[in-house]
Amino acid sequence: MKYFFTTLLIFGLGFLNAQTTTDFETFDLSAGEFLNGSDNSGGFEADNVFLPNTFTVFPEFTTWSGWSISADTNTTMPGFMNQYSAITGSGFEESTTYAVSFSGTNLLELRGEAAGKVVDGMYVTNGTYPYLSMRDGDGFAKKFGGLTGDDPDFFLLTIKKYFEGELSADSINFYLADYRFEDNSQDYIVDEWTYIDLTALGNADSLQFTLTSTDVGQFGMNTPAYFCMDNFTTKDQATFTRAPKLELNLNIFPNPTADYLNFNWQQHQGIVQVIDLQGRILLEQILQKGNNQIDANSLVRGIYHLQFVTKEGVASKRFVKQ
Amino acid sequence: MKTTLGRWVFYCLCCLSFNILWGQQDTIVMEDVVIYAVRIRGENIGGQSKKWTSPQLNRLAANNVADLLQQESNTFIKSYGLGSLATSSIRGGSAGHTLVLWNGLPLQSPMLGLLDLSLLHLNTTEEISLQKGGNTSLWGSGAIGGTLNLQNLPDAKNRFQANILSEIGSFGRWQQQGVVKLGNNNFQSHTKVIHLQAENNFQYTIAPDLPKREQSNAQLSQQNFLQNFYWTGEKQDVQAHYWYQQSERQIPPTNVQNISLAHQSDQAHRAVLNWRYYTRNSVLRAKAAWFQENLDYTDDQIFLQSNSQFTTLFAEFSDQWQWRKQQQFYLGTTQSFTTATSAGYNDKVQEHRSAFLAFYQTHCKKWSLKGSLRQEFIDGNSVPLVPSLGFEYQISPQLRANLKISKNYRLPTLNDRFWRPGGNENLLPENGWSEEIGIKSEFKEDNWTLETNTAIFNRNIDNWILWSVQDGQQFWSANNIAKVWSRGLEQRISLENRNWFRLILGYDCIRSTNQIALTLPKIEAGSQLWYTPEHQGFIKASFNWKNFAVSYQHQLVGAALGINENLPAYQIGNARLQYELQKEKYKGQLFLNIYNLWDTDYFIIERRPMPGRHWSTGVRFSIEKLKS
Repeated sequence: MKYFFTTLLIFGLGFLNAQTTTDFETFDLSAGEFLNGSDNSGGFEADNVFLPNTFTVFPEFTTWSGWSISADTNTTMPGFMNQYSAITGSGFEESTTYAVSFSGTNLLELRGEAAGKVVDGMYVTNGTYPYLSMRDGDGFAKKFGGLTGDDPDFFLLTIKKYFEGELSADSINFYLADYRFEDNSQDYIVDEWTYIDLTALGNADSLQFTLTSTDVGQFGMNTPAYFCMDNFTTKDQATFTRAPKLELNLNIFPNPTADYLNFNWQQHQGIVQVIDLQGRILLEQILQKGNNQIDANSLVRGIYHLQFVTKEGVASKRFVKQ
Repeated sequence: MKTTLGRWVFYCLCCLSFNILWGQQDTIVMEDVVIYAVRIRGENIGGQSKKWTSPQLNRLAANNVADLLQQESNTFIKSYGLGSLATSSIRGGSAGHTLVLWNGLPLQSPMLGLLDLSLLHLNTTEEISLQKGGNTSLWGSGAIGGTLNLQNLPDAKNRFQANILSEIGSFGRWQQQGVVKLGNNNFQSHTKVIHLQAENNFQYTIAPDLPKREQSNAQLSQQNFLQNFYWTGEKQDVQAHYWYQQSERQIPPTNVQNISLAHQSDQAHRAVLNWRYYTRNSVLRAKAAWFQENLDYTDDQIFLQSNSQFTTLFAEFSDQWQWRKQQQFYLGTTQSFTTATSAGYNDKVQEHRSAFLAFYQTHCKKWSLKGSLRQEFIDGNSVPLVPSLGFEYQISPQLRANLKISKNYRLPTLNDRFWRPGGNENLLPENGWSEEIGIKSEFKEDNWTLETNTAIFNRNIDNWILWSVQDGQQFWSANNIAKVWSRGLEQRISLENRNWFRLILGYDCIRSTNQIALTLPKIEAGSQLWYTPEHQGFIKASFNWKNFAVSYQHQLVGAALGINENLPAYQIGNARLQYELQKEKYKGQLFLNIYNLWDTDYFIIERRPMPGRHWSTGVRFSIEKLKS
């Protein structure tokens, strides 16, 4: 009995202490600077989170999507030339650095102690570009409320989780702008860091962020698909047990790969799956003792997981398709 | 007397034969006889055509080519607002499917593949012709929906003409034009200067119970300078044309945008040298041209600056023969070389187009036939051979039937090919077959004429180029992914008393549908193209009484799909009152135009409001001395 209570206490203390807040200050940026993935690292790792980034170089042109890390302070300049700044002009509680998401659908991976655990919450706000676009309109997007101010517009951030390869049906919605009120004076566009409690999502391997707007045309959403995030807090504690983690000691090569992935398998029977960052299983094959080869030719460029599933447990390895 | 009569007979015979042979714009001096004839390349046998001459253009409420097409031909003009970009959709085609020519050479920007018709002032030309339907085999890339030709013409009878116009109107509109034409039988010089400016600060409705909003950042300033020289010798003639265009305009905000600081500057230099040599049975032509255009777009609000420039050199050679007066054969080649720079290109890009053209045409008593072939090469790569066959048959003195079948294409623009990111150098030309049949009737009694014209057309275009997001891509790119089927009916009825009255009714029903569904952009299979109304109708009535003329034009445009919102149907009316007085060589004209007479609130493009009722008034004065 004594042993039981001691264990419970240790567990409880562990639960209380096992919380990590990622504030992105470790990137050591000065005001006005940003990181947009131009080093082709594929993303940004901070504490227990990984923020994927895709950066593509064309002759005299580059493009990025996913996440950037920013310390931009410009809160007045409209347009996409000012895409890295938060409307607050700083991070949460006037900190220097924050993360900027640019994509209609974006992901955040939980790693280390946070992987498969509960996420406490995070602070979000609008980027300057979408904020001014929604307030004033631009050449492509409407000002929210429309001509009369009565249009019931909104800009919605929907957060779901992936856990063990499955996307949750439940979601948490947060309105970055909401003009649906009968009384127009209550209409708002978020211009402060605002906390979103994510504990209701439960255990998660990664989070999916989706932006939707009422201003949408045949060419997609007109409202610029950006939001900013800071102080992402993980509980680093599971609410229930997940499949045992399989100890892996193998090397997949070449990584990154343009066509095939190879590895030598010496463990129990099972299957290997290729899973994208949305958690979709794209390829699946039976594990053979000895040399195994995965044909990655059909995959588009990006980051994937190779997930090994056996009756002894589950493990995964990350690889990049060039 | 005998000599004069003989000369007159000879003149008439020459007119008759050369009318068949060349057409009216080729001008030949044979001794002191001047012959006008239709350019046979411009004859749209089997298809629908319309032509406006300079005196007709001077009596219209239209100011530019976009206005003209909208008011006079029931063509749908996709206008972003007063003084803003205006492009056409003819027979359900895209803006790039209307080929615009100036003296037979394409005016379209090779970078964008289209032309802003609001920049083409009517008084820069002596004649405008519109040929509907596919004409790629004759005129080249883009002649799919229709071909518009702006032609400068000499007038050998003219000795001196000065023409000035001054006009004011709503929203700070102010226009001046000056034209001086002088010369003799052998030499003509035409100089034209046009200046137009406008604030375009019209007010538009937000909601019935709210105050109107004034359009901002909509100023416009346009300058045109043209110099045309015509020299005519015994067996040859030379024409030289130079056209300078400068347009400065602010780009107004949408109605759901608080402010815009965008500005666009268009500048063009165009020069053409045309030489013709006549023998007994043939005409040899050579043409050289140089076009240079700049388009600068800036938006100080978002620190955007985009400059682009292109230069195109043209060379054209052709020979045209005739047999037995009714049969003509034409063989020609057109070479063009374009260089272009833009911030969107990796480097300076260039394109060489080489086209070879042949056609045969014959006019018999009851029927006419025209067959043509075109083979084009782009940077050495061949474009599929395109043929065309047109046929007309006089069923009875009152009825004439026409039929035309043609294959047509539109080449990818330089932006489609080279823009970074998304440009695709492997793009194929948009191409497909067009078919049309029609019947025209004409009944005359005393001073009255009743005409009807019915046309039915069908067109399928494959490899339609759309900018879309492909799987695995993070950016928009140009792809041959769409297929569009266009078909429709065009009906015209006109009743005219040549002394005092004219009534025209027109109705077009055009289905132009995407045949392939897409995700981004979101397109459903079978859906009508954006900004392409299915139904359009118009009625125009003109009355003349003594020196007065009054006309009213009413236009009905059906609902259309837009990219962001659907556009409801609308109807607008325009009216013109005119007083003309001529005394010997002096001629004066006073006019008042009222646009959108019923003050309709309407949109052609969603979020881009059009002005309510507005007006312009002016005076035109000319002095003319003809050959005595």
